[in-house]
Amino acid sequence: MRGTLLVARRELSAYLRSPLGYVVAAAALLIDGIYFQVAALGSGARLSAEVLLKFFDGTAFITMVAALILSMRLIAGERESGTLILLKTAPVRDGEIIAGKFLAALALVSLMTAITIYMPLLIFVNGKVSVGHILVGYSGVLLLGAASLAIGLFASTLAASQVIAVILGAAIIGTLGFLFLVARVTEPPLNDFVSALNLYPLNQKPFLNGVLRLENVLYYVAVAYFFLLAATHTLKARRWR
Amino acid sequence: MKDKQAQADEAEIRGEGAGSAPPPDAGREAPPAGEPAPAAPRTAPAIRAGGWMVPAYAGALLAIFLGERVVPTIEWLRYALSGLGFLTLALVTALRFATAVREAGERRAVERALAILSALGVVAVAAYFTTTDAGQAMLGASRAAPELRARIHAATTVAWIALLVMATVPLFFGEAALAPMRRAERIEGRRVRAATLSGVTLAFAAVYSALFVFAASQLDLKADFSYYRTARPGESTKRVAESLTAPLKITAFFPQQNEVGAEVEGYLREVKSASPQITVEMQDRLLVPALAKEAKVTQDGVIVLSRDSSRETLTVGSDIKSAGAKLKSLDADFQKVLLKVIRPQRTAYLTVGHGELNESASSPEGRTTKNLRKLLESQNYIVKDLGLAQGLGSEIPKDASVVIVLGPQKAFLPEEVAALKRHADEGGHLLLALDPDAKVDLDPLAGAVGLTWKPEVLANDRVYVRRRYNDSDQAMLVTTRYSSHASVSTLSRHAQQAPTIFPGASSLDKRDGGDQKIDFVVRSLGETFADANGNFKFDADSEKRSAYNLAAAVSKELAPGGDDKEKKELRAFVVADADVFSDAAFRNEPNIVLALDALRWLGGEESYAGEITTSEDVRIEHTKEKDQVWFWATILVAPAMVLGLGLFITRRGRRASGRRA
Repeated sequence: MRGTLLVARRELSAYLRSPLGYVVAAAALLIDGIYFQVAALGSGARLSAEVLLKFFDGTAFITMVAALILSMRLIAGERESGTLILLKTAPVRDGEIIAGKFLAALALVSLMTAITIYMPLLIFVNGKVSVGHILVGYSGVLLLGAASLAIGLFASTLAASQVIAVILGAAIIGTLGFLFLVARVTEPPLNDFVSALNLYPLNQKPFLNGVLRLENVLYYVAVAYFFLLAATHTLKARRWR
Repeated sequence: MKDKQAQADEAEIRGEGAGSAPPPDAGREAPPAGEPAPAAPRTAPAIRAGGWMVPAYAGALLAIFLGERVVPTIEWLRYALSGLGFLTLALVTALRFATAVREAGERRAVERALAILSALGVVAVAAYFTTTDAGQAMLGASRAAPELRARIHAATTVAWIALLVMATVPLFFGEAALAPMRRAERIEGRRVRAATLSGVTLAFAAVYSALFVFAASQLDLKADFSYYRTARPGESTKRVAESLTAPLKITAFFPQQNEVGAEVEGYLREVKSASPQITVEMQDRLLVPALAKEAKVTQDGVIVLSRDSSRETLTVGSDIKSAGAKLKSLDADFQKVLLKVIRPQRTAYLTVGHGELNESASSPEGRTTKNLRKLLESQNYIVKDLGLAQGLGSEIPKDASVVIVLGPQKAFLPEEVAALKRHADEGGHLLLALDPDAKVDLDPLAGAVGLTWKPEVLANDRVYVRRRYNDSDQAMLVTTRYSSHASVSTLSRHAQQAPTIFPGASSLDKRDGGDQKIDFVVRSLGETFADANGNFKFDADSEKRSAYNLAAAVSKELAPGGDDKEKKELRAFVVADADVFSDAAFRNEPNIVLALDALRWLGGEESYAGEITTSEDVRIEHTKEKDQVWFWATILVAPAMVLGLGLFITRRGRRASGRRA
């Protein structure tokens, strides 16, 4: 645990001291703002729930992409700059390295997501939404961000360079994301299985609609846990490769 | 002793068990130094174990998948692919066991572990075949009860998937670690074991995660925080249900596992709990064609309410996208059909010919009454016009359950007033909405039910609704003062949370000498004054602050109801501001409740009083000026602030590190 916190602190301070974190956060806010204005609010009079749903829809997608970009450097970046060997020889376990890096990136993603709060709050000015709905929507976005980060981190442990890491991560996220299309063309019970694996939007939709389901929460936690475990074992794999 | 142990360890590494004969190729792993090589070289088996076994194994699984999932309808191809796949799996597994027996030492241990995993995969595939029709028939599960059969099917499905994952993932991991060492003289068993263990961990993690998620999905624990969601039975609907004295059967026709059906079922379950007279059935239309035919249901997503010979249907739809809006107004729609099925339809007459609110189709100020008309229809009223042609000047039609006068802009003829009075005196029911904006004398109308009408517009300079942001807004009265009369029972229960709006109201009072029972059910707030000179300012010398009567419930029992006798009672609900029932005022929910409770009281259904649950969403209207502010704030200001903060922190960090250097 101590190792985890050490790594997390180091990573977080690295994020905050380097322009990358701010550039990604600002870019995500910019895209989110444009999306909110153009797609969510639109030009006509829209229902409050519709505006909120569209806002969360866009934010979830942007968070997923931002998480992927942030995660690509976590291990692959260290490998590229040759500092991975220092990390490996440090008195911290592989699991602690992965957990620490994940927590730091998750903190940044949470921060990035939290600063978009002014957008749903704008709906209160002329519309009607519940605070609970907003909180549940944000929980969904954060869980999706955490799962995407874990996938990105796993890809980062596999790849030799950051570019390959981001492509690999995008491929995994894309595959898990497009499963809802596969579910549409498959027959039962396979379609149930495939749709249960869908990262976005099937498992995300209830959150966006303000419904907190234990099943969806567990799904994202399970995905994040599995890929973090896979990342740890990939890092460990140097011993048997 | 120590030497013996060391020798035993060495023998174990070489694969020699204590007391057992050395395997045929025991010397291959580690020939003792100095000893000559075996005289006869080991005969190579026809098929050698190697890296090819993993692709073969994966290919076999793929063949089974293709056979069972892609071409299950082409029988010969299905059996060929599945058979070939299963045979390949079995052969590869047998070869692994054979190799394990042939090898020695570390290699034997590794091959044996991989062979066991491979065999587990074969068991998984065999378990899969028990889920097929042939397999079920062979096991006798096809003869079991449907519920048991479904359970067996679910359990075997979970089992074979879990077994396959737990077999293949470690197998592939182990093989990946073993591959570079296959041709080496010696292998590092620890590497393979570590890899296999990683595979086992990941496989277990995947299986357990999936099982947890599956279990959670079966529990279906959820909390709905959305503002805009499926309506739940309102207080009023529950009261209507409670009032049932004869059985009511509700049948909802939805496909199984339908999202809309689940929402409707939840709603109906709550309605059912209100009365033991109600039975609720969820049916799949295609599974019970006779029942669907009897109920005349030809599509999914229909709710049928039947009581004795009367039957009413409510169509919701089964597609969540199209049914979403209907689910939100489900309570109002359901109550409408519920009322239809439990009591006969009534007629409400709306007077015409005097510029009433119901005569204007559109008005920029919202002085229309489309929503009031909808409200009447939702309470199972047929709405008809009543003018001179329909007998307003002579006799009110006998089928009139209620006669409604909504803010006439012209005075009523004395004959019309007399007809209304006669109707009231004979036990008729009236809803009179008088309006000072008309600048005509409506006092005779009020007088028909024992009231006087004071046409001065009331104003309040302390509590009022903002509309035009000028002094005229002071005539937009707000009140939370309701009596405990049945006609405002819902509002009086939630008085502080239910302020009604009276835009430009006058006031009422009791006429001397009347024998009616008059209850002033809505009164203005205490600081209100009658603005006689129309300047919207309180003139202390000529105007008086007081609580004015804004609405009155008038009643008079004419003939008490008996065993077979119909109770006759004059009932009139009079409001001193017709705008209170306009579409503009109906944007304020308590105004709808006021109209609803008044109508229920007039219809003798005060016991049904209560709210109808609706979660009507609000459209976000935005002006151009607002848009510009929001646009720049969301698009530029926030990202620029984050970027600026980043620039500041990173530059400060660099400067600090420069100083330290």
